[in-house]
Amino acid sequence: MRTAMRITLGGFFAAALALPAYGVTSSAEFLQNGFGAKAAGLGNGYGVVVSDPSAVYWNPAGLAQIYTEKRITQTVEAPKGTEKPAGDDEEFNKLLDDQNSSGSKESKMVEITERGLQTQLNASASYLSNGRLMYFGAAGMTLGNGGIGVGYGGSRVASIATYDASGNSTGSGSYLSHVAYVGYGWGTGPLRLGISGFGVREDVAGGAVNGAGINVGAQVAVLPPLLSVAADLKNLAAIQSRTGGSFKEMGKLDTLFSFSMQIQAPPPNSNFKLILGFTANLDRPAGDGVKLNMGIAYGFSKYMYAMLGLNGSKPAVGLGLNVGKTFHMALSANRDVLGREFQYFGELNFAF
Amino acid sequence: MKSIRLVLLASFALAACSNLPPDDSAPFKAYPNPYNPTTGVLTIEKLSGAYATTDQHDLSILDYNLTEVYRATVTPSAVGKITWTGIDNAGTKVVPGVYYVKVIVSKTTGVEGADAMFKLAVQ
Repeated sequence: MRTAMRITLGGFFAAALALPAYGVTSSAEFLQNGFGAKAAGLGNGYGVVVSDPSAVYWNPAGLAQIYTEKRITQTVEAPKGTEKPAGDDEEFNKLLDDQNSSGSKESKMVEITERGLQTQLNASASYLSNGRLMYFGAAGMTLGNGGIGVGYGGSRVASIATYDASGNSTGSGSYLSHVAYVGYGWGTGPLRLGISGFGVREDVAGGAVNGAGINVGAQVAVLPPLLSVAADLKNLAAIQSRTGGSFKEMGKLDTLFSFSMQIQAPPPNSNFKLILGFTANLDRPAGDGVKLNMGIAYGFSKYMYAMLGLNGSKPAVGLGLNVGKTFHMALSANRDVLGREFQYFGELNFAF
Repeated sequence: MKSIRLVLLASFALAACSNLPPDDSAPFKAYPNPYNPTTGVLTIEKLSGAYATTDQHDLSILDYNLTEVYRATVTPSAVGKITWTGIDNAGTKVVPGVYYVKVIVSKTTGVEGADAMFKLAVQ
């Protein structure tokens, strides 16, 4: 079974690498530009931040952060004088093992933090320049030592003036793209890893574009909570098939590599976070192939924070609202790449 | 309140970022749309006036990031219409999708102008 899976996966990767790259990638722009108000407000430097179900796109390792901290109190026997260390529970368990070699024991009450079950729902919508709409909805829940997530999204290009071959107006049309994701993130200690797969479909008039691929990513808490880093590959081994009336081609989608780091100021300024990173289009490295992703988040209170971001040449601004640990909302705006039009983003997240 | 002031200030800063002049607002149409490059040519026609045959015309074909992915130099016909076969200057045929297309006009005096961008669905 494993051998068969390896052969299948190997064949999939080999086929994707062997396919010629198109001059352009898929028109499903969310595969390159992403979703969500928080991501836009932070200049798309979001792979290190994401901890909600939209991680199926941004960095599936973030799915491992879907859990609630459950604190339980236990009475244990431990060597005399043993205090629960500030670090993780593994150290404490080691101390418990030591009691076997120690003659003196005593009962202690200790508080242990465990991963509790959590479910999250995430929804976002964007109004983009040139009459484009983009939307995404995702759900995630704790599963084992990680989290599982599913998502569905799409885009709509509206108001395309249509004409027949003689130049007579036939009204206007719109162009739709759809994508569905499923992913899993797994974490241990400071390391989180994740993988997600997607299928994409674009409805081209008289034809269609169908594609599929995977995203992989990692998040590492290097010096928690001051420094975290993340890296991910989007649209890895992603292939697409374009079909029309007399047209059929196979090709690959552009693969993106993103790296980001989050630096949180030490107390008493820990409400200030800086995000730095970049996104590189591995299939088109020249020209606009590498974009700087930069973001600043500043918490004014536990309820509200502001965001400033820069994604390539697109500056962004945003505002976030937290109501306890249950409800999060964010609004942001940026300028399109020509600096002509505002683009607006909204996002809601529920955790329960 | 402080946060709202900051966001408003940043919004005004963003509003000042526009760096391009407005397009020529003269109406025109491009047909057929949706366009299938395997079955014919795309015709671009001004609704008032015509494209000057003495000027150089380039079709700049942009993707959703408004990044130019194809450029094709085209010559207006005798009646001032532009036709395009769906192949760019590098000999690449445009692939299906939705694009934003601009007609860039370079006059012999060196002055450049551009028609308003239009959406083209390619089959």
